[in-house]
Amino acid sequence: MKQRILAITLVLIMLASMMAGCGDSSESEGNELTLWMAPMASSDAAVTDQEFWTEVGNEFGAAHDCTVKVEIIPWDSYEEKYLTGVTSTDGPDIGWLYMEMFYDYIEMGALADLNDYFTEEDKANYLYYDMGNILGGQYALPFIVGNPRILVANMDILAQAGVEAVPTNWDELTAACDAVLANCPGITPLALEWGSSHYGSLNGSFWPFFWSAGGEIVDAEGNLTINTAEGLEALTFMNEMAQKGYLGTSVTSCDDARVPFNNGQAAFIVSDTGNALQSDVANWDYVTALSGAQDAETMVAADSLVMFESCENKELAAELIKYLTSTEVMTKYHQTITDQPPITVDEEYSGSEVFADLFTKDSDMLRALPVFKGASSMYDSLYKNIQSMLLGELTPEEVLTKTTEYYDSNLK
Amino acid sequence: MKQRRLEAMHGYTYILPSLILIVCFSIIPIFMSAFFSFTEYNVMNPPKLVGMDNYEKILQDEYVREALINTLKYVVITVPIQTILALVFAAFIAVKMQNKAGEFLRSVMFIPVIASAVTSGTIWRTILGTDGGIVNNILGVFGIDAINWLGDSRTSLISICIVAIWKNVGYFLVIFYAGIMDVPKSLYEAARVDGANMFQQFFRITLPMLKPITSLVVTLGIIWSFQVFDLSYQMTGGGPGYSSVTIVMAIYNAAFKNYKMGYACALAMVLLVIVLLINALKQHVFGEKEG
Repeated sequence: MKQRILAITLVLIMLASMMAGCGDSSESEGNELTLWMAPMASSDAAVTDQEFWTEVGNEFGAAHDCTVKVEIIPWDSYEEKYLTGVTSTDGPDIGWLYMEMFYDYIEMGALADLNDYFTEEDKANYLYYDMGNILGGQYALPFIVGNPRILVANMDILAQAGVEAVPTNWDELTAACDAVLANCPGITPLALEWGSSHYGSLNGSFWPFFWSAGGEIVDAEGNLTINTAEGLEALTFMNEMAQKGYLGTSVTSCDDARVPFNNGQAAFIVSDTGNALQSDVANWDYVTALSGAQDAETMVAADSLVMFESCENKELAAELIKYLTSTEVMTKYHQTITDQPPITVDEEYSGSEVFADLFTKDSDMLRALPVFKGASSMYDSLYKNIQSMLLGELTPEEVLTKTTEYYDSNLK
Repeated sequence: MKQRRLEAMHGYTYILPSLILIVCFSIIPIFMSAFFSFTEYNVMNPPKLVGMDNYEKILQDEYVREALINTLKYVVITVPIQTILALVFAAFIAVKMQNKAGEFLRSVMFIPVIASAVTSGTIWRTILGTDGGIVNNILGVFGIDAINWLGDSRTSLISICIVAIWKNVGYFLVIFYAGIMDVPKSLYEAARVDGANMFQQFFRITLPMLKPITSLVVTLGIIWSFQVFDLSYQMTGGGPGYSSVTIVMAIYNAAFKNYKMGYACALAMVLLVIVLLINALKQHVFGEKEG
């Protein structure tokens, strides 16, 4: 009998524990804010993202008599974490979204319009405030407007090939790649990441060529417009580079172009500025973008802070956003965590002198990805179709037709 | 009568926690998914009934078609090979390695089972690397040209199958080993007296006696194979092209990339039906009877 009582007691305790686990843990007080940030610090950094933002949150909490809970969301499960968090009311008050995520969250009504919380003076101090005006509302405050994809060259290899300067247009790139193939055996002229498991490689490997050909991803109404003469020109150029051997023999298995570049096995890569600075190659140089049939343009990241509609104390959250983007915090962030250009008028550029001109003289070459419905899956579909083209399974025309048809019938 | 009812109550109390978990996290979600599969639903806003629209779209979705074909290929390749390998290894260890070395081998072969798919995928990406990968380096010693394992649409899915087999064999080996150890020794003794050699003992005694275990292994293998996602996601992202996209990847993309939960649920229902049908077919093949 005692054993039975003991067993039943244990069962009841287990049941109680299970029920407790089903409780809503998201009931935060109005003076508690949850902040989800993205990881930007390098793996060997002295200060981690968690440490940095926790300290910033504590400073804000002490000044405003509130608590800021900080969570760093890994890139690997970024979109899932946001979707499950936001829909289960266990998400953040303030989050960090990238361009591909905006359309759906705005359409779902999950984001708050920030416009009323910022004075004209506040707005004037932000360099990219208007960039956060998306689909008719100020749903974002651009936070990282940087890391543009640039063409980086190993100048020692170019010298060996008889090329004196980094190419500035497609023709010069073609000539330089020919020279590398002819004079530098075993060297891949241009290493591009067409073997990555994520479509994000398009940002460096395709969009700069596409835009420099004069292409536009979507029109003003949000219709996909890649299937044009300009899109075809960019893809044909990419295909020809692969056919001529500029991209190496195993282009669809290259998931990190920095590896051959750092090992001295590639003459050019398209890299973001942050990674270019960490290159092992001593003698390197860059151009911001190559001009094709049209002016040179390249992709720049435009990640933004957002406030969620579910936030109970929006005034306080807006104050926190202002604090996070203040000159004081941003200067420290750019010096400690990630080398990025300023986002406010007050902040002085504190990054590498190598890129000082890039963010001033070449700023008109930089453009962010557009916001439109089904962006992630369209990019994924295009990426996969381009992989097939590089393997000789699709023509450039088929890539554009298939991607557009898939988008129009399944994603639009 | 009252005593029997009390005993039944007692029994139900014991299974109650597990029952609640299964009902909450398996049974109810299946019915919810079935309902949502007839709706347009993005999780944030209330679902809107759309009838059979999601199922009609599945028939026209090229991505899903490729994913289904790839998943079927994956099942056809992995399930028989991992089952046969696990059985052969288990029999070998049970017969020839009843010692410390056998225990060590079993433990070593179980390590891939407990390794996370992300870790396994990352390690195998390096091993199968086209330039400088261990496998290609070994092939190079024999004068074989480097193979673009993960970057070629003809070999990407096969590469994932190899990793999956490597990861699963240890688990099924343990199940088979336990089954072999349960076979009465007297059967083998009698067979030896009758002059049966080792192969005859294996095919006439071990294999028939392991029929229920083999059925379990095949069932689990089929179910796991249809759920393949993490290895493919980690190693190739479904590429190059659509050569290694899988049905669960299609569900994942619909749910978490496109926020089309209704469509994702419809895909999940299709997957459920396929698994149930194949399981029924398998029961027919193995001649299993209800009850």
